Amino acid sequence: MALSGVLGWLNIRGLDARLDVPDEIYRGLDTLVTVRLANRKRLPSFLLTARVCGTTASFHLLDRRGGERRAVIVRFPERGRTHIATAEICSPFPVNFFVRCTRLAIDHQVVVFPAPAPCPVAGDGAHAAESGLLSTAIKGYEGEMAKISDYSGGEPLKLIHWRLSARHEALKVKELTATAQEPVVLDVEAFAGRDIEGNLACAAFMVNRLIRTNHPVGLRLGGRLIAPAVSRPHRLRLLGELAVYDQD
Amino acid sequence: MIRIRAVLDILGYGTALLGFFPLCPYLDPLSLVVFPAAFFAGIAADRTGRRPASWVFTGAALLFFGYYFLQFHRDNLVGPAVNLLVVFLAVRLAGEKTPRHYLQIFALSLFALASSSLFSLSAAFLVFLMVMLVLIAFALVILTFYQADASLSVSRPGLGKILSVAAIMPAGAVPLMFLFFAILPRTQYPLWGFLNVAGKKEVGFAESVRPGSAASIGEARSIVFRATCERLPQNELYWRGIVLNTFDGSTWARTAVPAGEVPGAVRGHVVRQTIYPEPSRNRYLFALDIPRQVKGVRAFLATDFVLGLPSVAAKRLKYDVVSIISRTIPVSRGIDSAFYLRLPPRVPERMLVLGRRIGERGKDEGEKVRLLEQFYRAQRLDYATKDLPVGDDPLDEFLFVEKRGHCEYFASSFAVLLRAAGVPARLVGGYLGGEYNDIGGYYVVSDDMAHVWVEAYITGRGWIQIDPSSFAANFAGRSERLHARFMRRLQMYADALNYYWNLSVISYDLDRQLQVITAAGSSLKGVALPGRLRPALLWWLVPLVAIGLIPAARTKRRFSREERLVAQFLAVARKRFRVETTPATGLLELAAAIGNPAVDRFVAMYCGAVYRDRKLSSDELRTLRHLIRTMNADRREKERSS
Repeated sequence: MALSGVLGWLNIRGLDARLDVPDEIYRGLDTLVTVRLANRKRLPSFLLTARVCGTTASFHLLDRRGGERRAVIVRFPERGRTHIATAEICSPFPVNFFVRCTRLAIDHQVVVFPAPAPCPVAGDGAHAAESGLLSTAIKGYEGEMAKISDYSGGEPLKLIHWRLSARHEALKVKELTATAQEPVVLDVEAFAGRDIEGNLACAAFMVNRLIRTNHPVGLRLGGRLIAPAVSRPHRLRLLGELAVYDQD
Repeated sequence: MIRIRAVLDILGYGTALLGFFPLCPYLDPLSLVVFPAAFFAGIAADRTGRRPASWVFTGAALLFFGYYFLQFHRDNLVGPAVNLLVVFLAVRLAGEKTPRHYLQIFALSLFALASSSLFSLSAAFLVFLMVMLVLIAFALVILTFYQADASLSVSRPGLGKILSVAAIMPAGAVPLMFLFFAILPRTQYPLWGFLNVAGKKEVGFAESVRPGSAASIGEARSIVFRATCERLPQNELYWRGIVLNTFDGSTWARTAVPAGEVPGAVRGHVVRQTIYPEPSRNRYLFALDIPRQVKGVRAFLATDFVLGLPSVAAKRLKYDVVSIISRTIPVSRGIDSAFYLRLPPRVPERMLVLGRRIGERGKDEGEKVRLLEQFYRAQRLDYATKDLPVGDDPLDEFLFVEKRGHCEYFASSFAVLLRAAGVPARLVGGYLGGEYNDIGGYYVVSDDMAHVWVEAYITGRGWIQIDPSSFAANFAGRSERLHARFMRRLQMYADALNYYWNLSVISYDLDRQLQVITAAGSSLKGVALPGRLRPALLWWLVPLVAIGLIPAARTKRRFSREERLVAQFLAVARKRFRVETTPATGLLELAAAIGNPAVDRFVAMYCGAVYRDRKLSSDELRTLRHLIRTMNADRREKERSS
């Protein structure tokens, strides 16, 4: 009995745990996380279960000075920065009379993005007007004509409405809505009719959707402006900004 | 890949067999049939996956329980209990096996094996127990895997790893076992057999002789004692036990020896023996005829050379005896003839007439004995253990009608006839012969060697040993047994194992432990070196020890105090701040990366001394150690809170 206790104690000693988490995690969505266990001691370890982020991964045999990895599906309930501090390692080895557990430090920081919630995107045409999602700041060059305004000196010449200008004293220019390839700056706080979480979810959806269709997307958030771009790192940066909104 | 379930099954069935085999000789025919049947049915069912519903097994278990429950009796507690154990084990083997059922199989097997020690404390028990403990340790580990995942399969090397780690448990338990062996109290008897002796019919040696009480005698071969001594001819191996001096017409018994009988000096070959009797309720000790001195046990030596204990021995005995091999016991001042001539009121007529006729024909006691011997030889009596004469006058029937009997008939009738002829006579009970075990160097004497012979008193010479059984026409081959040579050898090994087991385990006690310590102490004291060698030895010994110590000292000194301190610091820093360090990592660089005040302080103080080629002062050392402790405490606090 005493010896089985010692073996059980040794079985969960000398272990290291690590997590491999993808860089894109959305709140409430299944995410594949890899748990890596390494055994530093001279004895193999048996029948380990690693409990991390509410799910468990089983390792039947961990060779001496060896390692194993298991993929588990995890759902993160909250957006924002999440700190995964420890993994709980348990084992009934050698005899199933007691289950011994220990905590291994993982110290992994993840940023959980808001879950994307579909909402109409500018350029979808039909829904653009009623959604009112895009601010007036979004002007395009190739879309439908939105209104006529006075020439301010900066507009491209091709936008000058020559026929109308001829009837008036001043030059009139056409203002067109933005089309797919036009840079879009999302002003989440200005989204109408939703709570902030809904707006963030919608913004996340739009960031993904727009960048995938090659629209440069920027973000106006908390008084800051992030300039539009289309790269993946940029998309992750935007999503990260959305994730930690209002949390600092 | 190997299925864990298959491994578990093999271990389960193996354990069950180990529980069953040692109990076999003590089981009812019912359980002897049920167990093997269930064993094979279980294996078949495991293979096919088809077995009767569980209520069938529950019902069977209940039926068996009822059957054996009815057999429980105040005098028969253990028998039904062990049979029930075996039958329950059988039912469990045949039935469905969940993890709980496997545990039941292991427990029942262990109980079955343990219960076999109620009947016999042989060395084989140790072997069975060892193997079973190893199997159960393996099985419990495999069961844990099975519980984790019933459909689990492991590779062959994987299974090897599991079993080798599992083997640590029984291997580690061995030293503990020796520890407990030394300190725990133990029994020196198979408890049940010993307590139950009174209820069974005794065979072999008895404290009285009653020829004609049974038509045949059994061939019990259980061991009575072992005796280490030099090798002697078979016809000199008369092991004296008891002297029976009173005959009441049917039974020879022992009464107090008449006072005034003083044995004289016996001459002959002196043989020293150490005797290890098996436990029994017998109060008499055995020794080669004629015992003169006994040591190692509190025993009295009567004037007729009977060795007796004041009471039944409470533990396993061992005693040393000095015997003188002789057929004659001189008596210095004569004996109480009337006592040794006393006959019961009713002696068969033919015997009385025969005795008196010999008494009249013989001139002296010696001639009377010779005449009687001639009569015995002329009768052509047969030595037999079956179809023995029984009835009112078994001795008369033996001598004149059936003409067959065993030593009790020969000796009883001879002594009665001697007394009728006027020669004082008595019976001696003991054993004749012995099987020599060359491996252990001792004689084994078993129950079937029990023997009775006669001592007749001849004036001027003393008590003369006469073995009337030797007058039988077929006596010569009596003690010879035919065994295949190989089997005999095997038996000898097994018995030698038992002998050493008894010697070193069963009869191990505090006395022996103290003996070992005293012996070790005195042999150390006794280490004497020739005077000239002593200084020489010292001159050699000192450098040798010094050379032996140098590597130890070097390992200790290989790292300086400062190096050890830094190693400690790095280990703590790695754990506390989760930084990776390599041998190339500089301390200042590390401190900058971590940015913790305690680390900064440590590094500053350490580098201030060591990097300037100065050793750390004891104050600095204390402060640095304190810093490491603080960091370590921080780390634990952090881990706990997270």
